[in-house]
Amino acid sequence: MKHSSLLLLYMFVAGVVPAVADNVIDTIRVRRLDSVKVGATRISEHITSATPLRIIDETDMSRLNIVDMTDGLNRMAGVFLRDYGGAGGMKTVSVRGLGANHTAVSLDGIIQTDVQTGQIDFSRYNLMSISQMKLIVADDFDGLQSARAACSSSTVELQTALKSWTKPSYKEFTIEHGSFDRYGVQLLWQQQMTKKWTLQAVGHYLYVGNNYPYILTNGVEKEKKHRHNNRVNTYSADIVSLWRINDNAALDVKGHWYDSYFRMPGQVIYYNPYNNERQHNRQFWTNATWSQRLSPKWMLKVRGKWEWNELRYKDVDAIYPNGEWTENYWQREGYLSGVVRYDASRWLRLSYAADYIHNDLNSNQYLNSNVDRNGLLQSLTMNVKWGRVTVNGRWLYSSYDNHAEGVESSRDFDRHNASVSMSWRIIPKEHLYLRAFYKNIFRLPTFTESYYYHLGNADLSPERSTQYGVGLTLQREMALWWRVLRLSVDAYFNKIEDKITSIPLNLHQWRTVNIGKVRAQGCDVSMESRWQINTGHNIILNSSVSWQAITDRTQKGTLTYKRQLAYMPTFTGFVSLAYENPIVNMAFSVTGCSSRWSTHEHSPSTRLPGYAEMGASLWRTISMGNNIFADVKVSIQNLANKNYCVIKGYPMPGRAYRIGVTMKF
Amino acid sequence: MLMKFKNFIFNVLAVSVAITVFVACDDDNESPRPEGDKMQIDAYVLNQGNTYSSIASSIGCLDYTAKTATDSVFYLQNGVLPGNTLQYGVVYGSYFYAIAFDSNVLFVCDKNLKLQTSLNVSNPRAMVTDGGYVYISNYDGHVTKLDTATMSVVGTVEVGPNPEEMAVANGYLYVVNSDGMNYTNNYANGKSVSKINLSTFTVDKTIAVGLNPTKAVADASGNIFIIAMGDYTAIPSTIQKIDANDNVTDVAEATMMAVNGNQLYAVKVETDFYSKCQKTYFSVNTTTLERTDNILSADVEFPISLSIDPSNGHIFVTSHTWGQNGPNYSAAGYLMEFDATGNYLQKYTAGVNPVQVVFPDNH
Repeated sequence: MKHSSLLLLYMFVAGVVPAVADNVIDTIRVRRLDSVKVGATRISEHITSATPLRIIDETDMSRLNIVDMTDGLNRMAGVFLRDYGGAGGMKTVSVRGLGANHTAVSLDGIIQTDVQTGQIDFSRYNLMSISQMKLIVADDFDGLQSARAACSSSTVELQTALKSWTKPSYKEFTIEHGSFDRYGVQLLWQQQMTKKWTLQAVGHYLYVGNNYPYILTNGVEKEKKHRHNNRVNTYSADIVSLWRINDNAALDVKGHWYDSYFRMPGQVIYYNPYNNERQHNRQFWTNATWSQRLSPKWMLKVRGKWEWNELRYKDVDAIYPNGEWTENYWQREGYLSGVVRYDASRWLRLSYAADYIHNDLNSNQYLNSNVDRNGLLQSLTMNVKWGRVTVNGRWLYSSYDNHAEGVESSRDFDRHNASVSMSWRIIPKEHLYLRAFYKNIFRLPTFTESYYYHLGNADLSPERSTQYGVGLTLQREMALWWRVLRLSVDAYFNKIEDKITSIPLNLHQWRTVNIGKVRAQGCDVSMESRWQINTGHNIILNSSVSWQAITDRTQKGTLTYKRQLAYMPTFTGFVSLAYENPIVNMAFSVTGCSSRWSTHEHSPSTRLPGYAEMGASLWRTISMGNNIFADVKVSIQNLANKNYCVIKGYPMPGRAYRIGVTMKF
Repeated sequence: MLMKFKNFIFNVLAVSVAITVFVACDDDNESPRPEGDKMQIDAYVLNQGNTYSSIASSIGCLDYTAKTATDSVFYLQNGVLPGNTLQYGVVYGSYFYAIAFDSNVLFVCDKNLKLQTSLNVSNPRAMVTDGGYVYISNYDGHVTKLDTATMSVVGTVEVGPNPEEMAVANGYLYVVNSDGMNYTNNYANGKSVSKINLSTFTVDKTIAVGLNPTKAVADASGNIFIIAMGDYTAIPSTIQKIDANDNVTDVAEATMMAVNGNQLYAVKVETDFYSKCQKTYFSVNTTTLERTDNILSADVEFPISLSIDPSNGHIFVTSHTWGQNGPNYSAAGYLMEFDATGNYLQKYTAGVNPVQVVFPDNH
């Protein structure tokens, strides 16, 4: 067993085609790849993938100066992060101009859902527990993926990990402190109960006072203010059981509890700092993944999940009946998925996946008291690898039916969708690839869009997206000291049709309709270089620049036609530079974007200037003896104390420090 | 090798330059403060802005002689913005008063819009003036009395939930209680007008009216007219008349109105807010209730407000432009001027969401 795991490590590092390596053990995540000494640098999946892909593992997190989940997302070309600022501010991700509802989020291979809003708020994830972040544009055509994983225009995959898995008993204790009254604690305990069974338990708590300062510009006057009513109190607990039943089978079972109570400062309003909104989110889920090699050619993977979500929103203000406005929502999800993969030959692999999803929602809100949806998804995937050419294809059939009590239920849908990708290694001796893909898919109307009071429209159709992309990637070892150069250039063309748009009826009431077309064109250029200037001394440079024209194409002659959509910058980019050495590692980064408009119409006064946010960090691992180590990390975010907004009226924090110490024993 | 190194350096530079360029080209610059004192002001235009899109309010002015509109005059005069969600304005004595709902503020300006003082007021919704006082309805269920001699609050009275516009007649102040925030419960605790005795500043009587009343005006004969907006779906928006004996009668279906003497001008807007907007313009004699249809010689796209300049009887209709998804709520609106007989005279540009035209001598 140990032998095979080492072999697996070697294959990852040495760049053996990942497809060969994914036997049953791939359910167990391997980390600390860089600590294994091997001669050649692995060929990154960024380079070989037939669709644009970005993977950030734990080593990259330090090298790219990633301090928060948002930093990680900002280091992915093509991502636009909608960030309402601060620890509790909502953070959603749209990729290549397609809107946050088109981005799926998966945690350890299982898609996360919010049927109410259709968007996942990344502020709920704790970076400390994440070992890998991955952005998949379109589809990565993984043959063991669930059908549901192919249901979105793009996917952000988050993975948690077993820590130092060679040790039978392992504990970690992390404390974190930062500006604006930030305190975090994490406890991790991991025990190899038997040779085949490992248990892990993680507890995390975060408190942030979050009353950070900002500059309010009112005409010619500038005034220093603080965000009020912005406190965050979050705790979570996870328990993971990993059972290697035998060499051909494994069963992972996980449980998660999350409880977050936070206040919302609201939009900055002139002359009135008062806001009294607060929200309480609670979530529980449990999931299981069973992997079984049925024969040398057949693999089976079964996944299941049950999830419960509660959202309690309250605004305290004398204008409401009884002095407060409450909105409570409860969502549940049951999920079952099965995938079989058949490795037909060295060049052909086929797989079939079938998923069943049940979602229901009830709330204290008028007219959407009890609604539910059943989904049945099936996909057929084919991977062909023929010489230097790889071709992938996927067909997806989705069928959804909706029920509602007492109101008209949302329409039922049956859809067929397809995606294809190809990759061609142009020159035999060079890792130079040409890649191209096509995908069409849709997103369902959310329960809010379908049912919410006055806003809801049960007659909505899904919002359709079509993606085309082409790219060129290269990886080279330039010299003994210039270990890696990776370059990628990707261009894309996307379309959205039947866009679901909310239209205000008056101050409080909206309605949704299928109106609108969007066209997104863009180009992402990424570069990564690693120089080994001496033994143990590495300089790593990462950068990317994206250009995107994301324009409204609904109707000629209107104010918004051919104009860049609200909040979409024309240019985004980042540079990070890290120096790894035996004394203290350091990293520096700049993330920025060009100016944007907060309205589709580009109304005067709604232009938001571009910004560059700089950060730096220092870190090292200190040996405390007796096999005890301490990881110490000090970082500064927004080094230049730049006053800026991603979303108009929601200022971002200024300069902030963060100190974290993780004891490992 | 050297060539490759050069390429590498070039790549680094290209990326860094690209980032520096798009980062360096912008900063938060407001235009300098020009002087605007010598302005001819015939009317004020209150532009609410759009808080959802984070567009602040503005106050513009009309010059009848030059036939021009100047936006952002408040900003030009004071260097600061008139808050978020400017809701209502009045001219009284030598001052211009404006309230901003989201900013919880009352601005007191001179007639050139030079800010004299500002006061915190809770959720201000509408104003009316009488006897040296400005009355402000507060959306939290009160009416506040402001003494214009001292610019201080001298009284507060509790009325129904979510009061909106007010009108004064026969020594009484009438305020409509909309219960607008209780829309999920069908505005159940509104449907009324509170009648406040101005000599005691207490509620004398609560008069039952239609669903969701939000507008109120008084004619020259001491009648009050209100609009009960209904529920925006099945129950239509209706003008109701409250006579001196507090009898309530339905007058006509309409969504906005303005009064000049004993003539009430009204617009009925029927819209789904995204594909169609049908307007009916008419006037009603406030004593005989005789109706005249088709009073305006030109149409606006999506009316927001209707006002009459008492000095010349001209009718002003403010409007959003109409875009692909209905009204452009985040773009500049406009207003159209008609003479007293409804002949189209002039179009002026406005700011975002022009909610009211205020005239210097409308008291």
